[in-house]
Amino acid sequence: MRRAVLNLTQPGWVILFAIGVLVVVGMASIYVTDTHYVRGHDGPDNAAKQGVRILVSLALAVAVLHIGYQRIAQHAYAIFLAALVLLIPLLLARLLDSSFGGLTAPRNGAYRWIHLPGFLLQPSELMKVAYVLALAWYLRYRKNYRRFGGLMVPVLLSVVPICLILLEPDLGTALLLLPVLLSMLFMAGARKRHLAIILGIGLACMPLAWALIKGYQRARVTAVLLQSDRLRQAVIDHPDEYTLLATKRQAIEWAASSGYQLVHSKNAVGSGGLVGYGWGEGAYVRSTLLPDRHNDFIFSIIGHQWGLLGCLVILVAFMAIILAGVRIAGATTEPTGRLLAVGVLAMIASQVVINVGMSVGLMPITGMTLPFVSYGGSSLLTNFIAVALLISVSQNRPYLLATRPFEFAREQAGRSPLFEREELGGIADGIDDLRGPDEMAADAAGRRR
Amino acid sequence: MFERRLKVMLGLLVAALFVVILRLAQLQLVEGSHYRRRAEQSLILRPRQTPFVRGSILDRTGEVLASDEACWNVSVDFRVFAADIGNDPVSIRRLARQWRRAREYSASIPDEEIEQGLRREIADMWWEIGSFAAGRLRPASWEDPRERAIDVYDQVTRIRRAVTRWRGFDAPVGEEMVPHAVLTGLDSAEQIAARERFSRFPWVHVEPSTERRFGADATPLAHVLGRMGRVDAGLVADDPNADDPFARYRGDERVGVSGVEYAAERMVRGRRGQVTKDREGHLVEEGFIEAQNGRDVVLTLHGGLQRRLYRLLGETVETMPDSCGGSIVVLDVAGREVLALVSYPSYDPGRFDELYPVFRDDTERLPLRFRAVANRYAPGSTIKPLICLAGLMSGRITLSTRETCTGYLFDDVRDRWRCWRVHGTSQRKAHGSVDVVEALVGSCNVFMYRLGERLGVEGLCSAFDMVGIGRSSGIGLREESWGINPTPGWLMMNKNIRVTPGLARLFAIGQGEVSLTPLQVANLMATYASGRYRPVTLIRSDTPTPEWTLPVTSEQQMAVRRGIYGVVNDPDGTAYRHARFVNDRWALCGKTGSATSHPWPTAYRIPYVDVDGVENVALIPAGAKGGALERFEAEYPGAVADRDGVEVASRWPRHAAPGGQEHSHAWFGGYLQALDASGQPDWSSEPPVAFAVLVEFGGSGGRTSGPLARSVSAALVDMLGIELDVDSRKFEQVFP
Repeated sequence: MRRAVLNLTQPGWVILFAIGVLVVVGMASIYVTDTHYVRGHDGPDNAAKQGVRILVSLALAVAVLHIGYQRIAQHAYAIFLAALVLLIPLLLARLLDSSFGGLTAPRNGAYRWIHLPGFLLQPSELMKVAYVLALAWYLRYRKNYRRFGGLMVPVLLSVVPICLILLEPDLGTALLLLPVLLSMLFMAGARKRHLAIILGIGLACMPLAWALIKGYQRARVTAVLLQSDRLRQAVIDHPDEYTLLATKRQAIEWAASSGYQLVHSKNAVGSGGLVGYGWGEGAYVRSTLLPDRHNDFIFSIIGHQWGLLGCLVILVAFMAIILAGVRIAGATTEPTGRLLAVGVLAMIASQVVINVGMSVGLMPITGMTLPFVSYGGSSLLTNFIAVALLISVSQNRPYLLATRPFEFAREQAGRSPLFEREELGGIADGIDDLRGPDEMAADAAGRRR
Repeated sequence: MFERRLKVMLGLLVAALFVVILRLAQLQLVEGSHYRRRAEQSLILRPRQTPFVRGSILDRTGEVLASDEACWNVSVDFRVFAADIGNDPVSIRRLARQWRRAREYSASIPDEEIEQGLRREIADMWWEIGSFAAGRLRPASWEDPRERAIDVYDQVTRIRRAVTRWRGFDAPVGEEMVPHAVLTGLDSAEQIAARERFSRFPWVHVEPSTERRFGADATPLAHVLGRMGRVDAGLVADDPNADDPFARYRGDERVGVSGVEYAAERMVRGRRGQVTKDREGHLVEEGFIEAQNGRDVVLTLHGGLQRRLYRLLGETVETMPDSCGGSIVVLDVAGREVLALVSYPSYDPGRFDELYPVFRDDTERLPLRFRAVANRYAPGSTIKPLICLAGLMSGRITLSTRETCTGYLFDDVRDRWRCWRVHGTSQRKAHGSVDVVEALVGSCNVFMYRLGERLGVEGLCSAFDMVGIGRSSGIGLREESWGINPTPGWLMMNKNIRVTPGLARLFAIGQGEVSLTPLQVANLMATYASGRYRPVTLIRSDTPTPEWTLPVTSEQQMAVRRGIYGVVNDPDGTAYRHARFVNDRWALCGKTGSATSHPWPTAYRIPYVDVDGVENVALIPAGAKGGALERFEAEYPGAVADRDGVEVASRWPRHAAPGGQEHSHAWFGGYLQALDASGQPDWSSEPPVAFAVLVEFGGSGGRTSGPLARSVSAALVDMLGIELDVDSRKFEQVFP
């Protein structure tokens, strides 16, 4: 079957256009912060580097489109395993406190990067998309997750990468996998009751987690609460009553230590007003007061330059991607594609909400990038691949009249599960490449009988 | 179901985005102007205070004795001190980050390697600064920069500890945010060289500053001008400008700690300015406050006279085998302005920092001691005119009262109350029958013993009090001693003795507990010359000092003046042979004094047990037992001194017998009396200048200080002109 290289569907064009807007705005901001960035960790040619990365990511995305998500998804477990293997040197580096000759040198005390010639690879970013793939592949024909016990495998599948990423340490990325897991399970039809129980257990574990995380991580969470002048003053006045929240010292030094980025990020966004200072203008473009303004805090710089309107353009672009993705997920009847689309959407949406939320002081500050906008090669690559998979789902509609998967509501309405099973098995007969090994085995057994 | 759940998810996302947009609207629209202001303020760097220029110190002729000159300091960020001296891991990490950025090291170089390189670099920096300092032309303020850094580090650590105790938690203090000077006083050529040499270290700064410089030949003036030193806790606690952030004392400041620098601190101090820059290095106009420089201070001192008298005194002291120092004070009689305030030996104030250990350990000559105002001595016979005045004004004697001096007060106890004439092997005759004038001329002890008995200790003490003994002289220097007025209360409190007739006799010849500083003796002479007491003035001001006229008749005062005239100009006078100075306009009048004194300790022997338990003896140079113990503890850490076993190891004068052979300080106090055309004293004209000369352990007042007084008179006539015009403002009488 011959296909054009870019055989985009309508939602595909929408997504491509939205990404174009995001990339242009992001590059404009990276370029501007670059010219004023005299001494930085990564030198003064961030915009050029980012440009090259965009081109490389685009090429990879086209390759993914060309291959098609089905063929990639077949190797989902292998890809997942490869991503896990990439995380292991970082774990060893952290545990042995060695940088393996500079290969895994830590930055700011975190072992997140593998230093390859020419670029820094962040395996945890690749893990995100590998995780979505693996989860989609695992859940695609099953129903056992409708029972509580059946939920354990996907949860365990998540625990391994989460733990590895947590040890780097990279709390933000690790926690990102949880909303992805929950939304994929939810969309796959897991019972709300079970999800609520899992959520409840998670919430019940919070005090334990609170005790386990490091002091600076705790301070990041409390820093958001300490934004309130009244609360801060209360801690200063009665430090004994607020020992769980913050010490007196943390409250006094908040603006200079744990709240520093938050204060400046809010200043940058808030000072933008309705239309902002304009491209390349404004205090936070001209000064380097806001750390990581070209990657984690790029949304603040956008709000600073283009005000509320600029922020809305970014949010609308993301909303367009999400809506197009929802259409794709709704239109496809192929279970893997459906779950893949849902996972990609959940991943992008969570990143956007967390990143924008931390920029405006609604979320604790974690090292989370804004997809397609922030500086950073691994993040760019991951998101481009993820979106390519999404578009690929829209392109490769299976020519089958299958019932829509994950529609368990009808089951409750009196339809027998057996019927559905037969329906699916009968129609899927001719299309071998859609079936997993267990299905093939079942079929073979059936024929023998 | 899938569609429905998709809508639920979408709904959740829309809700989240809605919250975000609400928040954006709150930040950007509702509170937009607030954040805009904050953002613009964030571009402006924290304002930096600029130094003021301290006022100069001038003498009465307008000569600049000390002034601030622009210079540059080499300062190092405190973080380097913390990393290098304190080995603080946080500082090392931060510095390493700064270093990585400055050198643009690749991120793949591990932190440990950067930190090792950093340590080498800091060691290099100390070497560079040290060799730069050693190569400078003016080694005056040379001090090992790292020693200085250790000093600063210790001080800041102490401050931090104190602040921690006060705040309740440990956090960096302001002093840790600023660079601290390790080299001071660079001139403009040196600062350019320094900038080039230290440019590779991002934490070394060359900053403008000021430095106290002294005029040429400043040694004779060193004590008067005083020294600059660190701000101490007491100063900060009593700071009158504590509420003014630009005027209050700052921990890194140098302020006057002695002499005029301290006394005139409020006057010569200015108010710091402020410079504000934005992050691009441009000045922010609203943030600029000009520094207010301090006011100049004019002293009543005559610099030329001071230097000449210092040399004269030096020549005399150096020829005396037992003498270790001395003092000359010259006062203008009318306004009691201090014309010269000489202490010998002195030191070069420009090299004080460098030579301080030498000065401190010279416990025999004590060059740091401001003898003219800080040392008390028994006044000896220079007090006798006051005793006579006291007798006359109280009516205990009259001008015609005569006493007979046989050489002894009691013929049967000959070795106790003698007149000086029959002292030791002297074969001269006793004074015989003397009245007040003759008693002063011959300095008759027996006359004074009897007069002292009549006045009693209380009568004498009220006379002492009348001329300022035991009270401040008004000079305003913190080194000043008030002298001792041994009132019965004072004697009881300090010596635990009761008043006896013997004490009154002793005080009447200027011995015993009564003691005065050279400045007070000079003022006493001015009081004899004018019949009025007035506090002295060193720093010129427009407010006149109060004046006290002694309750004596003019005949009584003239009699005393005649007596003082006779001491030098009568062939029977005690100073006739040694001190007579007459030219066609002026005659020297004065009173000699030989005050017995005891040799003072110069070193102590302290037995101690060292850390290994071995008994040993340390020899500590010091003037007092407490000081010796303090220094012992600093120099022998861990050793335990046997406090009861401390004994004096040596004394000055060196050959003093252990039993305490008595030595004398040689006094001469006097004034210049105008002569009329016939060469006779013009009693109606008031003497213009009075002075006191003291040579420590100089022996006889007449023999040692007499010739010196003659030279002083010649110098006064020479320097002040034939009219002895001291150009002092003639204040009206202000009664207390």
